[in-house]
Amino acid sequence: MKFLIPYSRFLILLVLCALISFLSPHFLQTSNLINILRQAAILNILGVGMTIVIITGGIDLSNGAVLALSSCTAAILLKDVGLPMPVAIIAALLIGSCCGLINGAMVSKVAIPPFVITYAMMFFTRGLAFLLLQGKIIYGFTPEFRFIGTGYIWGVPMPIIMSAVVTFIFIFIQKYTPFGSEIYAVGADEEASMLSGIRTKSVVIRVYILSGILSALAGIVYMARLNASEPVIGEAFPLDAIAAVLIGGTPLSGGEGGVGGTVIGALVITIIINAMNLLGISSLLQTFVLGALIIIMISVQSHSRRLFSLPQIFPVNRKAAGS
Amino acid sequence: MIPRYKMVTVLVAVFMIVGLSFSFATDPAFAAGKYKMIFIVKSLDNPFWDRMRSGAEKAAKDLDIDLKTLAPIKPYNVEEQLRFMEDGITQKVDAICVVPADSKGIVPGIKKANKAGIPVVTPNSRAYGGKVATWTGAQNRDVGYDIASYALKVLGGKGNVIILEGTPGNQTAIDRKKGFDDAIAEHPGIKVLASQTAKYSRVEGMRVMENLAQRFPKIDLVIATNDEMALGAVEALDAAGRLKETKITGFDANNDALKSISEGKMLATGDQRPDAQGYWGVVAAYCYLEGMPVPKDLFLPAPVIDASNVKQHLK
Amino acid sequence: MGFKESFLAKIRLVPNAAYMFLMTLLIFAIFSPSFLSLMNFSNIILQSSMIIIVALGMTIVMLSNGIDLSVGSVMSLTGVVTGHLLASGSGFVLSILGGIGAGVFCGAFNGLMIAKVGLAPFIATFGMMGIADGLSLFAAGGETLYWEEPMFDVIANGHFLAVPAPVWIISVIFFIVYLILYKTPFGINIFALGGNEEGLRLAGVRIVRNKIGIYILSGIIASFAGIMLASRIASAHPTGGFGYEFEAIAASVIGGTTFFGGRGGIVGSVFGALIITLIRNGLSLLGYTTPWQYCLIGIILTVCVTINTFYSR
Repeated sequence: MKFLIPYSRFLILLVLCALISFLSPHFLQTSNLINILRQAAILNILGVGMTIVIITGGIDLSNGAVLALSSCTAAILLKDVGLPMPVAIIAALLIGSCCGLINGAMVSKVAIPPFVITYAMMFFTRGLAFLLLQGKIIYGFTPEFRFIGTGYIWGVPMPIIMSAVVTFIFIFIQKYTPFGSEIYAVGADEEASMLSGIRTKSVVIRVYILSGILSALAGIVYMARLNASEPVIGEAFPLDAIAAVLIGGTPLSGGEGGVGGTVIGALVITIIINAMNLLGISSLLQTFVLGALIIIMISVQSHSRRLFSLPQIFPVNRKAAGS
Repeated sequence: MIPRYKMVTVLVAVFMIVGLSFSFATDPAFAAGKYKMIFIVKSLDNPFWDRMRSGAEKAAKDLDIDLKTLAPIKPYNVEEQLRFMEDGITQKVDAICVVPADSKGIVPGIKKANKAGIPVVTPNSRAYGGKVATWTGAQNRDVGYDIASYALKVLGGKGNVIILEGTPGNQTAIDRKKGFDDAIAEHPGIKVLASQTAKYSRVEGMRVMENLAQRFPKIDLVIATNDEMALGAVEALDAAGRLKETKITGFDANNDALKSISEGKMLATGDQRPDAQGYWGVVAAYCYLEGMPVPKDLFLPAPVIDASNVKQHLK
Repeated sequence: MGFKESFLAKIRLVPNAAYMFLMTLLIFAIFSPSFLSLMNFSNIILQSSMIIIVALGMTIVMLSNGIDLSVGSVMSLTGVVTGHLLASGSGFVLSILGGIGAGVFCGAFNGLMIAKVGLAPFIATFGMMGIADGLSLFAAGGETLYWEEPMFDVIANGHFLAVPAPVWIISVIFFIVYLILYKTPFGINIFALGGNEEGLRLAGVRIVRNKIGIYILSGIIASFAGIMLASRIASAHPTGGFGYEFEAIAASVIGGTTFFGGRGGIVGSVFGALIITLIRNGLSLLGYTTPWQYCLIGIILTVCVTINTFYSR
């Protein structure tokens, strides 16, 4: 059975699904499974951004607030100012990248701990979002815009397509581009990377910018799906995204892991919530169930890891032996 | 290495300049009005509170009162509301209007205000203790009962119902649900398929509705404890093509809920008229300060809004 | 060394956070007339009492290169347990002990998962955050608990020798934490775990036992904060502690403690907690409405940490 160990994450996902389908006949309905993929899409997009940040040894607590600010801005540009869709989307992505740039610059140039600067950025961007919308909700977008959230291409819902595209792009980046190797190198040992010629500061900044852009993108999908935008959205996203990354096997210490694992992490979280609704679990106990299951699953996963010290599913620049 | 004290001085100077310009340009402290008041709502995460704020500010403008609206950063956090009250007492405001996030938890704050001789008005939610000048509003439980009764009547007294609960532990959500439960208890032909929380959020309402729709092929009615979740449910069922066969009700009479009702997507909502609650709360405080008699309870009727009367409420 | 040199040397030992605290104090004092009053300072102490306590606990965990995200939920759970006991008439002492018991239980569970099962502290305590939160909601039946027990009110609102009770309580907790960290072998182990866990293991120290102890300590301290909160709002809300974990981490980091363990101090964390509370209090007195408070908190935090970072290089 040893050959199964590298696929422990998939296995856990399968076991989870098997268990739930045993408890609820509705789980394996096609429409339910598609729902799950669609619900997981936004978390996945955010998770991808969080993954690359965590691989460099950092963290991004501001992704929910950046999501809110960029989508509120896009909403105002679309509805109040009446600008065309591409302009609004680009504006949102620009805001996301600006926030990411500030985060990245503060982390790399000023050497502020990522936790604090992204925590502060979370407050700052959330405040801007509130000031922008003054407590109102903007709702009712054009069908063309809504297509991003509610449309289908070849029968597949758009959010799933967008999340899949993002995932594949970043798997490609992390596996086949120099930038990808640099991300891992910086996370594994920043000093050694710098000495071997990698522009570590630039890598870090780019990683946070990407996280910001992905947060903004997630914001666009979010508002297209909900047909509304308001300043309070996304409060729970940072922790959920981090959980998805960690469940997916990327450790907080950085230098290892990958986007592929995060997909599984996002699915796991979404599936558990779906199951709780299907099974009618009391509202009071839902956080309990989620917390307990996450612990159980990661315990199982890390136990198998420690016993057999498995290689990662996706190739990675390992830490130098003996370091 | 720059000496520490020089660095600190420079930063302090920069800070002061920034702070000064911000402070005076944008959001000045209390200007000169006849009375100074603070108005503390429960959170910023719902347009309901924004409407209450605008109602309160309208009263403030009419009566020449300096009003500042504050909301906890952690939504529905009564300890933060307590802090605002303490800070208001420090600033010697003339009156405090507070919507208690927790009817018991706010009492220490009210007692402090009582001790300082500052009158307290509690719009929308009651406080179970301390000396309160007046309460304005409608009972959440009663309005919840009205909405649910109306919806059940439309259903003809029988059918499958799903309840979308609010944030766990939230008193408003609990009261509204109690209203729903009481109404349902009077109709034995009604079956409650599920009662799940969607945390007062639109996206969670959408998610929970999608999930529940998988399990239950026939849903006649969805009653939600606020409009945000109801609208999320609307989106979910609309996308699944099941909106025609399911009626949905919300609570709060937010603008997009009203729009949704006029489009025939939502059945009804309840209007607690937060703007009126805010307005009359401030007016009551003013009257108290002016020495006029003020009733202990100021009941403001909260109509159920459906397609028949939605036009007059739509802005 | 002359007098000047030794004085400057002593100043260098004072954490940066203390300077930032004074700076923030000055700025608000200048801008806001009501800031510099006895009443306001009294309020600030009351308002900061919970976060100071939680920050102390978080600092201990961070020094050992760990993190405890469950402290907020443990605060809520403690409040609920204590609330139940108080409401059922169990009396002051038993109720508090019960609450602390909840903290011990959660902390022990955290410690076991981290030390025995080998889970990363982030994930283990993240899971516990959900578990404690759910337990708290379930035990409270989803509603707020309240009681009649005048002795319990004293914790947050009483005075002893004209000094507010929270000051006494915080001082005692601070003193105990100081003793543990600097005067016991356990404390040495905490620092060592943060700096060089492998070395400690090779030296034969029982790592598992120490780690469990650290998280139990964190749980107990969190439960103290939960009791303080319950006393302050004279009720126990099932999710009342929500959000404190992040404030505690921020307070510790502003105070100079890092995520890499081994460095930092509890004095800095106290000042960090005070700074956070001061900012909220000051902005509120200046009449800033909440959206502006959000923005300014973000800016001020950044400024504070930038200063910190410049001075520790």
